[in-house]
Amino acid sequence: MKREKHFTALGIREKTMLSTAVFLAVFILVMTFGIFITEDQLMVDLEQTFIQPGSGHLFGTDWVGRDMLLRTLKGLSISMRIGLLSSLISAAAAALLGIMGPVFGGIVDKAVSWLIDFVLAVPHTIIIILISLACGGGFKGIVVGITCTHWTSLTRVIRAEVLQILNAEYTQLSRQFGKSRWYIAREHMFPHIIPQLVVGVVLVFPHAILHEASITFLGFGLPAHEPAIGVILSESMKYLTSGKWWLAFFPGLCLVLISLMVDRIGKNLEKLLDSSSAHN
Amino acid sequence: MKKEPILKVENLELSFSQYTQGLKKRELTVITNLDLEVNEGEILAVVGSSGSGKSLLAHAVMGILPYNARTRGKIQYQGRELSQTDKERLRGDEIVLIPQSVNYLDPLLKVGQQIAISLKNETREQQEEIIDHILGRYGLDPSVKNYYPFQLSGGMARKVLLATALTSSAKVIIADEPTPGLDEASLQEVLKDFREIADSGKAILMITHDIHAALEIADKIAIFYAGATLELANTEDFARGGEELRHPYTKALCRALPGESFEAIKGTQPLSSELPEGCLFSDRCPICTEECRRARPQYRSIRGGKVRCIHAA
Amino acid sequence: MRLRANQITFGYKRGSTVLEDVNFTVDEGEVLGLTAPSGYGKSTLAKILAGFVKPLQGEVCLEADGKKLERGKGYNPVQLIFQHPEKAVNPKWKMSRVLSEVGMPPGELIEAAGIKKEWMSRWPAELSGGELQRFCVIRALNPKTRFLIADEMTTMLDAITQAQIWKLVLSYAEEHQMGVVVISHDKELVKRLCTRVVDLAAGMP
Repeated sequence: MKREKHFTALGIREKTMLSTAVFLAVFILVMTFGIFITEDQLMVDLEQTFIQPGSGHLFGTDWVGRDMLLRTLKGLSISMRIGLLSSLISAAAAALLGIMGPVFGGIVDKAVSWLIDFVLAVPHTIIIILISLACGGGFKGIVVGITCTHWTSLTRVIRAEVLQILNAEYTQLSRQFGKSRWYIAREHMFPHIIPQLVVGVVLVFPHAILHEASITFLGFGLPAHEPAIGVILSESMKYLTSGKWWLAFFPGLCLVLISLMVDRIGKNLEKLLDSSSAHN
Repeated sequence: MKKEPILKVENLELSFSQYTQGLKKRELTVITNLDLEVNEGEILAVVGSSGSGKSLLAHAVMGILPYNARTRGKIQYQGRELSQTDKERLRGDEIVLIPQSVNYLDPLLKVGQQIAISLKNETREQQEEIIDHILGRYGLDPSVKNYYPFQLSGGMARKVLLATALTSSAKVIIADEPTPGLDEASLQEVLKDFREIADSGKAILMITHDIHAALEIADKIAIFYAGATLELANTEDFARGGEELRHPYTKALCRALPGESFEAIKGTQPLSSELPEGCLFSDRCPICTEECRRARPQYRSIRGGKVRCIHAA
Repeated sequence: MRLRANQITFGYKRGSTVLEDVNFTVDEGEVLGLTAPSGYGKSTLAKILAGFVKPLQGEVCLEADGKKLERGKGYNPVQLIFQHPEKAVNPKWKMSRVLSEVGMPPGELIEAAGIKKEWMSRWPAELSGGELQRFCVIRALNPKTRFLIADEMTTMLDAITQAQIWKLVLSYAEEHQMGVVVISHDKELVKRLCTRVVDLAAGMP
């Protein structure tokens, strides 16, 4: 139609999609690049210690001459894998519990609600530390700890959605058509929940990596020989007072940027998947 | 001397820009040719089936269309064309809307408080008195004012919506589907109220799909189909099986009434995305000719009414 | 076959009942009208008849040759059509899927309902109430449906669509000996459609 020319070339939807695509590309790039950084590239080189950020080493070097850019990327990549894994598991738990509660109702739903309230009522940094320690720390400990504390808000959202769909006329009709609970959950509810799940996974992610970094920083997370962001930050504390600002500044900044970026991806997806904002 | 209509809508066109699939955008024209005018002391019923764009008319006048809507044509109030800022200034004070759905009530505010919103100048005691009086008129117990919207049945909620608007001192009242869910007695009460309000010099625009209700109180009836007003008829024209009506669609509508012959013509109103080139009713019309399919007919005056059909005489 | 509402009582709060001791029967092939003032609980009664809500007391049962039929878990032979079709279809399903949830109705029926082929590939939000209600009606006109409860089925529709839909339902009911319960505030419509009318408020204080 000719009228389309009246509209600007980039609508809100195009802009949202474009920024999501760019962020997603950066995300995948950082993660894969980090995986391919080998031990050899992070060798100790005592002739190159404490070089200021510049053209040779963009992020400078540390006290044993390792390139801080590579260390940061490697650290981010580890953090991101932890974040991705724990948010995926959290979402799976949320889908399961959020659907099971209302569909089975009664004691099951009470149990789910109680569990949500219980987890939300306890300060979660402490639980993560405790669970992480109990699991022997490391990658596994952190993933379990974060998962155990971050399934709650998404479960709540999904439970509310499922409750609403369960009372909708079309699902009640489906019951009268002789369809099973399982059919209704799968065919009627799941399509409604998928967008919530996708957004949920993405929005839990920044929490997960920031928790990972803080727990590791405090010494309860990843072991000191892993180049995780938390480890880098806690090590650099020793040199901060002697003016080696770049050791903490760039890794910290990158961590924050990645979190903000993923958060933005989540909000974008929320906008794109919400049919009520499908116009313009 | 002919009085200037208090509210006049002239050749209104309304479209939405939408994403269809992915990034494909299209403009969907929902209202193509809408004309109507309502005078002080008059009730105009706008009758159309669901999907004809009637509710959007109300939203256009109130200036509460969604952001992706664009309008062309004129909306005049007291002879002056309305801008968006005018609409925002007038709405609630001079032009009020009785919305269609119960969802327009504030779920966290008790019924009494919602009615009181339009009673700005009265004291507390006066407000209480008016609220009790109004609820009583519709056969609602005074205790209803302490209910929250979710505690109301469909019919009760509708009465509350009416009550909130009828207490205001507006000059134009737009009622969007005020009748469904009301039983006979309350319906009569509501319709009587509308008549009284109109007789006190206000103008009422009643948007409805219910010809019965329209015939009972309206002075004039505008027939709305697929986004255009096809006919402006006087209420008397519907008597005697609709002989006096001007447009074949209106005639068919009249004959389909359960109280008339309950005959149904075939076919359905075209979707906004599939409007025909020519007359909007051409694909269902018994007297359609080649010429009808070629271009949209002009709106012209005939026998004290208006019609958009080239065959009407 | 006969549908019997037997001493049905219902209420949300203890002490205040909405429906009290409602009794009536509908025979197969019969078109019965139910009328009552608003707030009486007509919609609740419709839901009780169609098995959506359990009554506090009393029961809804199907009888054949004077004997009560046991009802299994599967397809309910008493089907309900709601006033607002847009709530009765899953907004995330395309219309062809909505229509075929209990098996695709025969082509003649789809055609008789005036449903166009192009509508099948649309989302519910892209159709108007009148178009959606056609889908809801023929979805319920399944061979297994013995009684149809129409709760203000055409209240939101224009007169022509109303006449079209009722013509279809009545001819189907006659052909398949399906019983129909018409719940409507529109006296003219009830008079036009029904062979017998029960005024629920008649026995009330």
